[in-house]
This record gives sequence, C-alpha cells and structure tokens, in this order.
Amino acid sequence: MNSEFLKSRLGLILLGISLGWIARLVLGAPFEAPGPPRTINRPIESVSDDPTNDPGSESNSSADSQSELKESGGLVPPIQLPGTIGIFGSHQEHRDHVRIKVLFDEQSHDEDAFFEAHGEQQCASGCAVSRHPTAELTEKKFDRLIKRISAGEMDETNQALEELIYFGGQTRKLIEANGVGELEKDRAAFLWDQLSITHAKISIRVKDETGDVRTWIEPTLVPFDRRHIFDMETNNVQPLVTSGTIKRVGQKHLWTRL
Amino acid sequence: MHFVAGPWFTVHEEGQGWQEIGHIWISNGDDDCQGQVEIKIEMERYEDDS
Repeated sequence: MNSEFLKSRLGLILLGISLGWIARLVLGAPFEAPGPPRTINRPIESVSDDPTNDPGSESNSSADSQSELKESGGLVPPIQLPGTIGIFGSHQEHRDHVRIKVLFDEQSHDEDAFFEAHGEQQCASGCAVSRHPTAELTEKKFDRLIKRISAGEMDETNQALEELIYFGGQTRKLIEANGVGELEKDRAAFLWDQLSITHAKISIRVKDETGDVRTWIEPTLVPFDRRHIFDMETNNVQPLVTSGTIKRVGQKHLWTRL
Repeated sequence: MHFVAGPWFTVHEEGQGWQEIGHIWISNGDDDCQGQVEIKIEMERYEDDS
C-alpha cells in the first residue's frame, strides 16, 4: 500500500516537472530582471561638448538665428560680449575694468550639472530651445524702459529696472549696440553691474520624515535660462537625477522650474 | 522603469535660504516615507579666469 502510494506521488511529481519544462519550451522562459537599473536613459543627448555650439558666434538677425538654429541641431548659439565695457566713465573705471566674460559659456557650469535642451521654442535671449522662453526685447521697448528707469529708486520697486534685468542678455546686447541714452552714469553703472549676474548656484535636497537628508546636490553653478540635469548624491535611496531651469525675473527674484 | 516627480514651479527670493517646494515618496526598498523637497539658490557673477 505504501509502495503504491509512493510510486503514485513520485509519478505526479515527475509529471509536474515534465509539464513545466514543456510549458517553458513552448512559451519561453520568463524574463528575470537583473535588478533596478543604475543609470537613466535620457531622451536627448547632452550637447555641452557639441562643437557646433561655438560660444564665440553671435546671432544678429532673425534669419541668421534660424539658420544657426538649424546648423546647431536646434540650439541657439550663445550671446557673447566683449570683456570690458567703457561707456560708464569714471564710476565704472574705478572698478578696475570689471570683466564680463562669456555670458553663456557652454562650460560655465559645475561638473555635477549637464546642459540639456528642453522644449521646442527658441528663447529670444539666445539661451536655448526652451519650454519657457524669454520674450523678445525690441529696441523700442528697450528705449522706453531706459527712459523710465530714472523715474524711480534703483531697487525692486522700479518696474523698468526689473524688466531690463528680466531681459538679461538682450538688455546687455542692446546697451552694447545703442548705449544707455541720457541715463545717469550711476544708474547705468548699477544696471550694468546687475546685468553681470548671469549665473546661479543651486542646492537641492530631499529630507525624510526623520530629518535625514536622503538625496542632495551641493551648491552647483549653472547659467540662467538653460535647463540642466543634476547628478544627485544619495543616502539609502536609489540613484536619481533632477533637472531644472533658473531664470532671473528681477533684481532679487529667480523663477525656477524643477 | 523610471519614476518621475514634479515639475515644480516657484519664485525664489535672493537670500531667503532653503525653500520647500513639494513632497515625494521615497523608499530604500524596505521602508517608504515622505520626503520634503527643498531648494536654495544664490545669484552668481561668472568670471572665467582661464
């Protein structure tokens, strides 16, 4: 009785194993994931090393911009101004030739940040293809804002000053081309000094419910108006990246998309 | 498989320090909890000394 019982159980086990192998052969082996991926595939390759993105080139007209936009694979060549500007007289001179270097240098970010274009619209300030482009500052509007600056204090209550700072690179380019008209030297120097702020240092962190920092990035330098990817440090959490764009929208205010 | 949080939009004032912008779920595979996302931004003048 026991021998027959054992034989029948053994037969059932062998039959089960056989059916399993047949099913595996017919249907294929189930996919066994090796574990969570350690890297993230990005939809667009970083263009920070793209030789067509020459920081020395300058777009002077809409047609040129469009042509360069195509040549550079969708990216607008950055605006570059001379190193020293001498239109402000003695107030500026005592600053010992304040240098404003390459304004949108492709390499002007820290090594934990990687430039990556985003969106389909071209930023009027030449920043990049962006989902949040800055509108165009026309010469007419520039002249109007320059005239209005003198009506108020040189602080964040001055709407004309705030707008000129918001337009950033475009304002610098028009000052280079057209000067500042009748604007007083001190005000002009103040405006130019504000426009020399072209970058920001961003820090990001995620704290858990106990207050432990689980992922973070130390203060990282990036230029305004360009979306960057940030490699985050981690503590007991899976690898991750963040991305974001910083725009200057006034003397003391920054707009951020993260 | 990728997990995405955000986007978050915010206006940051110079010198305001850490700003809370949102919350996400974080996990180490064993324990899940809420994480508070914070940013701090300081304006900078870029000078290339090369």
